[in-house]
Amino acid sequence: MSYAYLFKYIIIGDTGVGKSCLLLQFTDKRFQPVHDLTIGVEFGARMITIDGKQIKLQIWDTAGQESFRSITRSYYRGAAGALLVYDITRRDTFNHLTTWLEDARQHSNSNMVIMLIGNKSDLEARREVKKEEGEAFAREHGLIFMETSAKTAANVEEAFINTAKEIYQKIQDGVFDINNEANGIKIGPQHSPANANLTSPGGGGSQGGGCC
Amino acid sequence: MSDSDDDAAFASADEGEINDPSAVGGMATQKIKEKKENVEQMTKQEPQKQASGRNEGKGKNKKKKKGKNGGKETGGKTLTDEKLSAKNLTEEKVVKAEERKTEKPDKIQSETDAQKTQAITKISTLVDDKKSQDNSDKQSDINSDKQSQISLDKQSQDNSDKQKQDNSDKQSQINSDKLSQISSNKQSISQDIHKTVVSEVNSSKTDQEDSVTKIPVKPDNVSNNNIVTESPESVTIPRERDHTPEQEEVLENLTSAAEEQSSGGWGWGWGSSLLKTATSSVSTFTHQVGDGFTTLMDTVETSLGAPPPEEMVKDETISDTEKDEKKETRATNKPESQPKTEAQTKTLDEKTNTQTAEGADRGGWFSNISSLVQNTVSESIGVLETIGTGSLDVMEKIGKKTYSVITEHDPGFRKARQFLGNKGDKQNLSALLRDAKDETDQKIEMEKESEEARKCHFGCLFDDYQGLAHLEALEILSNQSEKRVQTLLHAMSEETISEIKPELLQIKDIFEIDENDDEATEHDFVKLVTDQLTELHLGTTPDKLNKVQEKTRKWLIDFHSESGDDKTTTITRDPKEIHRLAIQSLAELTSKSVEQFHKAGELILLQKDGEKSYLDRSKALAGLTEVLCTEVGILSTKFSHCLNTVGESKELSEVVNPLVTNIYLEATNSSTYIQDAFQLLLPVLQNAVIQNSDVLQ
Repeated sequence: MSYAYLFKYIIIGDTGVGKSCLLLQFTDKRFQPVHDLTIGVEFGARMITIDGKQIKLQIWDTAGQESFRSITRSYYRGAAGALLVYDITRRDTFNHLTTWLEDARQHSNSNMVIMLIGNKSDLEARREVKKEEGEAFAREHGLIFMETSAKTAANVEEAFINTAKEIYQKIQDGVFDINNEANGIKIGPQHSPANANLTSPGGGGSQGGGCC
Repeated sequence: MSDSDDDAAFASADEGEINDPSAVGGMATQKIKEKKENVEQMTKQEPQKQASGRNEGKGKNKKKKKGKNGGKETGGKTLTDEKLSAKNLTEEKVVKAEERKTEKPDKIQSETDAQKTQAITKISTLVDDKKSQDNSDKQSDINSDKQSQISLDKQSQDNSDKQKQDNSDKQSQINSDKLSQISSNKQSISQDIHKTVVSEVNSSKTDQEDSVTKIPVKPDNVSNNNIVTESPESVTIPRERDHTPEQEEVLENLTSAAEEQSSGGWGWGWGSSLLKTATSSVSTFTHQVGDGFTTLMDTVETSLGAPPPEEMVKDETISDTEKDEKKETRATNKPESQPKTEAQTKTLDEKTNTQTAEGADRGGWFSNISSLVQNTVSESIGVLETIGTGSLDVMEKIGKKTYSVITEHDPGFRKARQFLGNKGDKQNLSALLRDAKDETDQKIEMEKESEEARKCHFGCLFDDYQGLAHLEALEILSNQSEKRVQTLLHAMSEETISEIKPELLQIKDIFEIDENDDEATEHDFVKLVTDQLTELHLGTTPDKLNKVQEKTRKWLIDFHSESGDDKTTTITRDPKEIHRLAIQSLAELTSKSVEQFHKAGELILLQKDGEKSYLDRSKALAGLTEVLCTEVGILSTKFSHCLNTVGESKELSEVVNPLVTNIYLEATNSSTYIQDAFQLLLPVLQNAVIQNSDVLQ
């Protein structure tokens, strides 16, 4: 299970938009209608193949609750990709996008690829946010956009993989410095990784987000 | 008389006959007539001799050859009658024929003979040197061994096939070159043959030499001159007679060697059949070449030996214009060779027909070769006739041409040589492929092993259970908290610091756990963990930890109950399987422990209720760490015990011992991770203490 690259993802967005369900659908290919509230951050990992290269996606599924924001912000650092999720049946989650985006841009590296996801596309009847609105927002802020359904798994794979492709392309273009782990990219170990000792990623950011 | 000599004599006689009407001297004409009769008699007798000496088929061959020569005779007669220059050429031939004729009835021994023999030896050494040089050049490329000859023959076969389609002069010239190449190759095989050839050339040389010395004195008396030049011929004739059997021997050796090869280790069916065909063709071909060779040599004799002296005579007697005329006729001689060839091929076809009766399978092949030989012989004659100004020049040209042909027109020869010579490479290739396959198998095996190893690798499993990610996240929290604590402490006044310091130091003391090396005693894990988490008061449940612990314990209980009930089931347990499970359990427990600490850290930072003191929480966390480490110790001991049980019953201590060692090692790692995670919480707690202290407000 050796990989060429490891990409760190973060999933952000309001609570209850379906971040953990998206992750579960992507990693386990299953859907849980009722999901526990995420405490701080949960993790998921999956191997994908891009351009014949094995890429491990290490996904940090952050808690959407406002109370956890101070902690989750600290996890943004060192992410190569971010899935910014809103619920198409809840206009407020769409309205909070700007705050999330600002937060993400502020606490992560500038090259981070952000994918805007309008989740719960299966609930068309309860749609509050038009697809065009999402597209317009993405276009405006230079994001990739997709409407997904963690329940039906529609576009879930594509959302994660397209983000990875974008990151991979940036690596090819030399935008990302793969040797700098603060970019959220690690070059894969050649084989059976050595003792997973306390390998600290570029988490030692000096200007930590306001913890108060 | 030997075959070749016989043929040579006959050919000379033929030539003489051809030129009969245009003979210069009356004496010559007479002698020619006599000679002709003689030769005819000889030819009648000789086939019989051959038949007795060798097999009949070969005798037949020779007969046919003669028949062919006869055809040649008639063809040549009509053609040469009209040509003036032919006189010059044929005069010498007549001389030769006379020589041979006169040899037999009376052996002329004189002083001049002795002189000539000396001259011969001198010249022969010279020519020998020259020839050997040429030959060495040729031989450098022509591999003198049988295989190369076979390939050569094969090639000439190919060429003959080509010739079938396109019998152009150019190609036949190439073939003639090839023939000379083959001839030289043959020379290299049999030194005797070589000697014979050389001596023959020498004799012709001597003829030339003699005529050079004598003709100026007696230009008209050709016959006299001829009689004088008998002696070198008489020298060569017995030689040839002696060596022809040897030549035969060589051929037979060749054939047998080739056959040996074919019967021996040849791996390919077609290869052996090819070789057989090649072998048979070698023998037949060499016969033909032998025949052609003698014919060629005769022609060399006649064309090289006689014409130059004649020309020399003519140079003195005939005017320049006549010379030009002669050149013209010589040029016209060229096309003559083609009708000749036709006649030859006709007779050859007849011969081939009989030969196909002998070996039907190589019939088509044979006719090609025969025609090739004929064409090449005639062509070489033509070439030699056109060239012939000096014998050395001719030989040089032949040598050069041969060399160039070998190097330029015969690239396939090398290929054939490689093909036949390096059959070992075939085996090497297969061996190479086998090696490559083995390598791939090994690689796959190694990948499998590494995959298996991954399943038993604590670090990998710890990562798979997301323990690493949690540890990473906890580190982020810890680092941020530490920085915040430093910042806050800097910002605080001395007074506030002194107020808050005791609590911070107390917490720090709690985090300094003594290394407990005592033997891990059994404990109620679920109860202890639940108690500690309740004490922590963060709302986190020990579900994940308890689940892992229960699962592992259940397996261990099952194992021991099995070993208690039925020892055989225990025996069937693979030690590696036990080891894998042990590492898996440890990794999972460690991951969940780290996750628990990570969650605790997050919640400690978030919960700002003052219900529980951070001191108590620290104590709870320390207690939790101890419980987890104890559990790790107990599990490792239990798994090691399982392994030892299996090892004893199976007498696999050599396999089990390193596995047991590994379990203990990874248990130590596990404890280290848990304690590290716990230590990472210190800054978090300190941060929480400062942030939630009343002092800050």
